[in-house]
Amino acid sequence: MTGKITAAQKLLIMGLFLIIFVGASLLIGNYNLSLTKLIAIGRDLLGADFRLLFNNPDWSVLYYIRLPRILTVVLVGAALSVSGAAYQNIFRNPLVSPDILGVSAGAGLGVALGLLYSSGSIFYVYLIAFITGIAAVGLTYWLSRLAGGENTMFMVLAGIVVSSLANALISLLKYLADPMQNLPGIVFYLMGGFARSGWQEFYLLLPVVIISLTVILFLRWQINIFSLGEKEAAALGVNTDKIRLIVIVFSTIMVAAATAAAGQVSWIGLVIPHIARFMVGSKYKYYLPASALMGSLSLLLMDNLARTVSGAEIPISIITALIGAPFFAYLLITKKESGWR
Amino acid sequence: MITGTGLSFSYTDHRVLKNINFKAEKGEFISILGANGSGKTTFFRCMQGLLVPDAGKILLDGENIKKMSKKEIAQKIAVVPQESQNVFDYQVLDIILMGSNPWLSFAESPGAIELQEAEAIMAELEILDLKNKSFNKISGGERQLVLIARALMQKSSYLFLDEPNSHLDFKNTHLSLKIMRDLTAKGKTLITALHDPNLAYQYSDRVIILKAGKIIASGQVEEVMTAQNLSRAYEIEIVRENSGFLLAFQQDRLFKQKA
Repeated sequence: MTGKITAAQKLLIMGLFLIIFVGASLLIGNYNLSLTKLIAIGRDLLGADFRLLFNNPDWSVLYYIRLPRILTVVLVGAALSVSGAAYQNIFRNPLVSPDILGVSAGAGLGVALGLLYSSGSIFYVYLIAFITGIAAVGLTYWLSRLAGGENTMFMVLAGIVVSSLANALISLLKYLADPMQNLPGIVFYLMGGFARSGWQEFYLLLPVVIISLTVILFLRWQINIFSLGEKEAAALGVNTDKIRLIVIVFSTIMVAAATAAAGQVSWIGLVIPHIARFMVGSKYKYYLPASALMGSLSLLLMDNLARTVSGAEIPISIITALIGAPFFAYLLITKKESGWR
Repeated sequence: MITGTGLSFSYTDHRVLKNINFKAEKGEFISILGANGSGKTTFFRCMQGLLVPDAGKILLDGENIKKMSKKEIAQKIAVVPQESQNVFDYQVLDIILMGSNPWLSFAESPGAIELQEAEAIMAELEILDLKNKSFNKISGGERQLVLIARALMQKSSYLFLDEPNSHLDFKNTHLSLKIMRDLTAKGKTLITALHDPNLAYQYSDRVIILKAGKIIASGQVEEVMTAQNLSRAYEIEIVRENSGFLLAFQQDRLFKQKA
């Protein structure tokens, strides 16, 4: 194994890249925030009179706009990617993701409901998104069991059914919504984006992501075994019902929270786990952190594109789909041994 | 000792097992024979606690299997599945380490002790060179050995093997059966479902013949494995040749060649 980079070293490199990306992203945007300005802010921050900063527009842009937005992007990217990785192992299916299982659409329905009927409290939006997200994945699972047991294709098809239903209901809500007052809000919310991400969003997301990631990471060994199939896992002493429930609940919480924070961000949960597996292998100890880091890295890159390519912001789901879909096609064609057939 | 008394099992529309009585003692090599659909796999799943029989009781070292957790069962029973590739690929070492799961606590991963055990088992089965290879890319025979190693990692007294040689060639079939045979000398109890009566005849101590969910014969190899019993089980005429069993029409062909 000499001369080869180990999985642990790869994780370290990804982590370093993420830190560099976060730093660089602070400097990107319509408002000019150069490295010298950043250093000046740093000096003021450490200096005796840090109150000076409160009147400094550079500080306002950095602290109230860019930093919370970037950190939210990092969390959402990690959440979507890790939940995709977890669903793939639990359902023993490399084709599933939050989008395909209907969780994203289900949570999106919850977001729309929450925006319309919960007097705008962000907490209720999260809560309803979680409930509808869980309902969606439950329905997908149940339908696929009814139709064809453990067959991978049935789960994808059941997910299409559930996604369509949820999207139809979202359309109905849009149709019923007041076109002046509510409709634009719902439409732009669901198209996704981080323009509104402030510290409030970040602090709501942070505990959800940290707790879910920790739980899933703790169960990594059993999740590994789970991917051999339910019967084999049970024969190896895995409490399959318990593990499945825990992993689905915590993955879905993450997707719901990410959807509530940033709208329906597609493709990350499908494509990134494949890239992560390709880089560090299937072993969850490395695969899970790699999924999280790669999810954060790629979504950050795409969000930077979203807010700089044109004068107005492009919704993030457009960017993730424009990049994710062709990339997935490329993976399908070239990486034939990654478990798709 | 593992015993099953009066076991019956039905899927929604038809009964698959009918009043099965079964006993396996330490160090025995027991083969289950029967035509496709005779209930071998269902019987296996019941004995492993994966299916709950409608009637009857299974005792594992005196304890009712219904009251045991999956983990407790896995500490006593290891299952060697039919060799197959996994959806997600793992290193051989990781696959073998998965066998340590019944002895780990809920959120624990295998550590240095388990690694040492795994290496010792691999050395014993002479597969240490496969350690870092990818499980999906080694040969079918090698995969079978890895799955046996994983079962040994479970340190269980009972090994269930469901058609362990269904994907193996002639050489690997006999090599893996010999390894299983050697395991009984170390006190392991082996229960296999086999397709080929000749393999059961050559390797096992006792044979159970299933037909349509019922035991039609059970006992020592020599007394149970008669042309008559086998003909009945497979619903085709089977004859006894010097060292094994043939279908009657195979015999005809041999005679033709001699003439």
